[in-house]
Amino acid sequence: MSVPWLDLGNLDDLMDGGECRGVVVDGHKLGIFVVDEEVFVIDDLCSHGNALLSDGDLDGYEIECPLHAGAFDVRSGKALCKPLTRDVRKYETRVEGGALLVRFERT
Amino acid sequence: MTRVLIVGAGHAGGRVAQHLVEGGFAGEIVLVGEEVHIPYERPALSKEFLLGKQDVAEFSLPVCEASEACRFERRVGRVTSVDPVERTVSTADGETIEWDRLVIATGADARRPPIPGNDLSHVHVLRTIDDALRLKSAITAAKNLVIIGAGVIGLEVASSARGHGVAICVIEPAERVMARILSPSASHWLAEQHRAAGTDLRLGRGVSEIHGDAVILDDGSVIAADTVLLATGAAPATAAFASVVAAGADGVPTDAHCRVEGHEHIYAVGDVALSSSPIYGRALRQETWRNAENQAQAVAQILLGGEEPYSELPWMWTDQLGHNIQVVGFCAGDREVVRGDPATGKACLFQLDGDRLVGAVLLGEGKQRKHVERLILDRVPVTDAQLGDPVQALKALA
Repeated sequence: MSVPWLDLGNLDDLMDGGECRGVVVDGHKLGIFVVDEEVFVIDDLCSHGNALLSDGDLDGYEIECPLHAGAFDVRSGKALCKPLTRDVRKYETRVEGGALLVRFERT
Repeated sequence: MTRVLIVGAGHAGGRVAQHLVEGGFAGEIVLVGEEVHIPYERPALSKEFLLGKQDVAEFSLPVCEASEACRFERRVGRVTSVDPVERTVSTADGETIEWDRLVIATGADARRPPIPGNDLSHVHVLRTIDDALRLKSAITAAKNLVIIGAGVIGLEVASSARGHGVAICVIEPAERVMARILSPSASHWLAEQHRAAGTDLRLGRGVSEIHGDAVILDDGSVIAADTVLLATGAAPATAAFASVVAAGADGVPTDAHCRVEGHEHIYAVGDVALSSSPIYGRALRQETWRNAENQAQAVAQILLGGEEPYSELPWMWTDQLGHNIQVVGFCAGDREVVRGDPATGKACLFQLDGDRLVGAVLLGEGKQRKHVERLILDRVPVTDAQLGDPVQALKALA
């Protein structure tokens, strides 16, 4: 069975004009990032330290962790530089009637 | 076949080898270090590793492997001297190793101030994995931990040791904590955090003697201590290089291409290197993670024929008591402008010299680091009002 789409709510309300937003689903932290009206969702917890990527600085498609300056590509979750050695997970998204849907399995 | 000999197998030395292999170096790389561990990064030793939240594999560098073009060998040993004319080094085991290019990456050793009792078995230092393992097991059993020195390592260990049921006392001869790196107001803020967390912080106090169960301060007070950490800074490990470094130098002096002055085939990298900085026009010795990481890459590029000088703005981070503190540039300047309220744990303490930013302490504001670096490097004229107003995005100023 394929992973279902989960409705995270109205995208505009979630972002409130910002470009980064963190949400928690079943204790799992997801980071929402908007670049040129395109929306991306990756794990919000940095793979290096105990920090939220949504608190970081978004530059183009690069989100920089606020703790130790590791950067990830929000399109893929790929770790782009040291001190990161592991990628973070990336989730499929779509926007339906203003609502942000993400392919995420609830536990 | 050209042989690059790297002396010192820590973060910087290990990365030089790795970047040479990845950069297609055709020749032989020999990496000699005193530790049995493969090269690793050190920031976790006083934090996640000490807390048992990370294991060695998580901060070890990837294992360096030979390629078709490049032979690689790692040896455990201690280099004791260099012959720059014959291009050899001697080791403590009586071995002679030849080289065509020598990279000095020996880092820094913990300072042990000449306090009577500094060699007792319950007195620790913290530079290596083995140091950290010993300290961790001591803290687990300790009732009274005394940390001598309120620098980064001392305060990180004080932070990590909390919750282990141990009374913590930190003794610092200077009048404020992390005085070498932080501005006075940032030092004050951090000292308050530690005091609020229950640490007995004694500033402006020296230690006159260490006993088996106590530490005696210079005012005569006696502090119970079953575990003592000497966190009194690190000295560049230059003992083996007397033939190429003048006595008394604070590190191995190099030009902006990391070449040791007067020795075009010898390079220095990482904590030990006292390198001419194109940004500051003077020599800097940077004991930071980023310097180890990036200078190693620069030296590898230069060994591969690159022409780019090494240029790095100082940047460090520390994680203490749930706070992430970062320092960019230097807390020099003629005044400080504060954005935000340090009491909330989130603030930028900007250091200005005239209308230029020369440094910043970021309390929980690491997301501003990139913009702060741009403002410093591009020498962007700024006003106190712009920097002090949280509504003005730094990104827009940079």
